Amino acid sequence: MQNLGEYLRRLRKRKGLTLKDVEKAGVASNAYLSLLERDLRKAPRPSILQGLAVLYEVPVKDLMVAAGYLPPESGKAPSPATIESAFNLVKNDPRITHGTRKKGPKLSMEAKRYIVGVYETLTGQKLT
Amino acid sequence: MNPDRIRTFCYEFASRNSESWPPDEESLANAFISYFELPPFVSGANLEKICTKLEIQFVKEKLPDDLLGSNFHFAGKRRIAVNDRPERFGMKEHTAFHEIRELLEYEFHEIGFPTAEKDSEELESRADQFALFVMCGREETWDHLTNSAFEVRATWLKFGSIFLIFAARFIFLLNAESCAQYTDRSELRGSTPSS
Repeated sequence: MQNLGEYLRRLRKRKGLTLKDVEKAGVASNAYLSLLERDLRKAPRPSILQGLAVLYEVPVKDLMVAAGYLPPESGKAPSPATIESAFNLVKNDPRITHGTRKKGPKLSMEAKRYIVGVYETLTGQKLT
Repeated sequence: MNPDRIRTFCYEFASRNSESWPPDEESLANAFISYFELPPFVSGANLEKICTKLEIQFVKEKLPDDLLGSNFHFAGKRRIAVNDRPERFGMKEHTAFHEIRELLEYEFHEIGFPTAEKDSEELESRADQFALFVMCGREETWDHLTNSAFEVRATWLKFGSIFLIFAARFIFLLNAESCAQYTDRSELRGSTPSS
């Protein structure tokens, strides 16, 4: 686990929330969060990280990596071919329905990467 | 387990309007506003509360440059995202309701009452109209405001208020319509609608 506390504190401040605000949102107690942000507690349960990710509007994967539940990304971004192939899988998965409102006639690679990312978060299935 | 409110709404609406299917978007928007008891006018501030009421996860985030919004439905969970970048006034709200309309369409398809061909221009146009009607509030709201203004005694205040109400409505309409111009039509999915 690397600097999870500091990371959580930064995310909270970025959203302009106090510890009490987070407590009110029902994610975790004020006291527990305070300890967590000072790295005085071990990594919280994934369900707490999930709640914090929603509140702080960050991908839950980022918090899971910071908490040591998931290995850090290799740093190598998936190739366009990988993204394209993953995007096609998403399009053809009958379990999920989705749409986008976009500005141009075609989806950019970045948009496809985004859709694949949301799919991975929702289904828990890694495609890239 | 709580019933799926969006599905229930779609089912009830389709049952009531099956004779004249597909419905016009104004009727759908009015039924939607009443069913979910939405405030008369929607703003960015209450968008999140509205989505909570609808049991939709609402996310404001920095989307890729070419995306204004997105919607997902997986295993009974619904999620919409709108771009967090500063956009023109009313854009986030318009996009959010456009996405919500798409989520409704998935249900209409599921229960055998599609309102438009999947992936069609018509569906896009319907989603834009729906967003416009939801944003502009119910007809009764405007009527109520206008009637209230007529009850004002001082003539200058009465006609001033009426003028302002009509001006506000015009601006609402114009703005919501211009938000719709930003949409381009998605190429997503062969088997589902896209916004």
